[in-house]
This record gives sequence, C-alpha cells and structure tokens, in this order.
Amino acid sequence: MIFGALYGVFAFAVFFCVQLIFIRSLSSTQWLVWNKRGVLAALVVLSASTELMQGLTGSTWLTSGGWLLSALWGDLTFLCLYVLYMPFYFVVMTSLSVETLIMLHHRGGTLHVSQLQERFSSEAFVADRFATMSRNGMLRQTTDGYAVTEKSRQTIRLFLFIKSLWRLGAGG
Amino acid sequence: MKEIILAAVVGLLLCTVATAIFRVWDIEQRASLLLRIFLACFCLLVALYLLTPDDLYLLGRETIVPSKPVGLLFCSFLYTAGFFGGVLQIYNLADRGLSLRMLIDISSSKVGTMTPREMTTAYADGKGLVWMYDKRIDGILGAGLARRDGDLIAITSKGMRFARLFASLKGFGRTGEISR
Repeated sequence: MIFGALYGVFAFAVFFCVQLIFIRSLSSTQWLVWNKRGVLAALVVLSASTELMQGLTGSTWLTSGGWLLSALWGDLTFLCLYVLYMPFYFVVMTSLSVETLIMLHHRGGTLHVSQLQERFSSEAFVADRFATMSRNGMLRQTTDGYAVTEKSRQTIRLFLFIKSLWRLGAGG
Repeated sequence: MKEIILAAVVGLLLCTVATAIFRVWDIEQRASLLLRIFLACFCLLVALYLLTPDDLYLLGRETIVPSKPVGLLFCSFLYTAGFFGGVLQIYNLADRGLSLRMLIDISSSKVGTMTPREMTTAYADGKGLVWMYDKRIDGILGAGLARRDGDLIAITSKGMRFARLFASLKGFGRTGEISR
C-alpha cells in the first residue's frame, strides 16, 4: 500500500512534467483534451505496472497488502494530486481577479475603475468570452446571438441542482 | 483500506452538514463556513482513526497498513484533497463561475439565445456584469491586494508580488482561451 502511494506521487511528478511541455506546445483547447487523455492513460499505466514495480523492491513493509491495494493507493494518490493541481491552473489562467492584478501591474499600478470595467465587464469582454466558449463547444452561434449546446445543458442541469440544494441564489 | 473508508465517510458527513446548514440558515460567508466545517470534521477524522480498530471489525488483516502514522497521513491527504479539490471547487464554480452563470442565463432566457450586449445587463438574473466585477474588486480590496482611492484602484506591494508571480506563470502557459 505504501509503495502504491509513493508510486502515485512519482507518476504524478512525471505527468506534471509532461504537462509543462504540453502547456507550451499546444493550444489551450488541445491541451485540455490531452490533459484528460493523459490522466486516463496515467491511471491505467499506474495500475498495470504496480505489480511489476513492486516486485523490484525487496521491502515487505512497503508492499504489504498486495499489488491490488497498492494500485488503488497509487491511483487515489495520483487523482488527489491532480484535483489539487487543476484548480490552481484554472485560477492562474482564467481568474478575473488575477487578470485585474496583472493589468494593474502592467499599467503602472493605478487605474480608474472605469478602465477596469471597460476591460472586464464590457460587451467586448463578453464577446471574447462567448468566442472562447464556442471554441470549447459550450455555446453555438446563431442568427440571434449565442445558444447553449447539448453538452453544456448537462452541466447546467447539474449545477442548477447544486445551486438549488445549497440555496446559492443567482451567484456569478 | 480503513483510511479510504474513513476519509469517504467523514467527507460525506461534511457534505451532509454543509448542505443542512445552507438549507436551514442564510449564510453570508459560505466559503469560510465550509472551511470551518472542514476543520471540525478533520478533528473528527483524526479521532476516529486513532480510536477505531485497524480492521474496523470487518476488514481482512491484509488490508491493514503496517504503520499507523503513514495510514493517518494518507487518510488526511485523501480527505483534504477531496475537500479542496472537490467540495470547495464545486462550491466556487456553482457560486462564482462566470462562464457557468452565462450558460445558465442564456438557457433560461425567453428566446434561448443572447448577444454579448444583452449579457452585460442580463448576467446573474439581471444583476449585470458591472455587479459581477464589483464583487471581484471588493475581493481584491478585502484581501489587501489593492486599495481604492476615490475612482482609482491602486495595487499594493502585496498585490504587486502576486501580480509578478501570476504574470510569470501565465507567461509560461497559455492565456485567455480557457473559460471557466
């Protein structure tokens, strides 16, 4: 079991390094697709190779519980590290607060509220966001504007349920 | 195996307690409340781990971790990752997700479509994008990353440090194409 956890950490470290290469060489949309595939591939390889890798270590303390439990611990460790890493990535890449700080930093440290609003709450800002969502398959352009796709309807239903369950209100 | 079972049970308990509180009371600072529930449940998790038998009266001997500290560490890790990477992220998305809110507004509009101009006023059930951005600005000011001087927003030295860090991280990766 303990070997599995350590192997999971190692597998995530490898996955993370490969991610860094992919982040620089692929577009964001392509990167997200390869990210998902990478996770699945890593989990399969991790599980499949645990027995072999365990055999290379002589320690019964590390390998107690057998390879199946080790594989489970490895996969769980990998998944936990992944779910901690991805939100951090999204905050850096998409957070409006982060973008605001960077804009302030690049413009000498001080800006009028209206200048910030022009950048982050204007029609142009929404148009840019809609274009990104269209590329990601969440929206489709129609003659009257933008409509949600079937893919996004499932997401909407799920989150409307959560919002209703936790009484979150409109939010946003 | 005890580690996985306890982390899952206490995680489920956290979700149940949070849901009950959110449904019964009107809470302003929900994220901070979630964090407090997380900490309270974490104490419970540690106590349960130390006080319950290694086999939980039902597991086989082969499923017992040879080291209790390592087992407790793994159990805590599963629970913590489940909270910060799962529950808290779902809450953040549901309550603050910009793209998600836009999708909901478009799907609930009368005609089922929306132009960018319409979205600027229709956002979040008609509160508008200016309201949304004011919330972000308030968050930045509240965290001491910037200060307001009349109509001006000025970055603080703390904000500047974060801005430099995030700018270099963004510079390394890609920007602007991923919506959340």
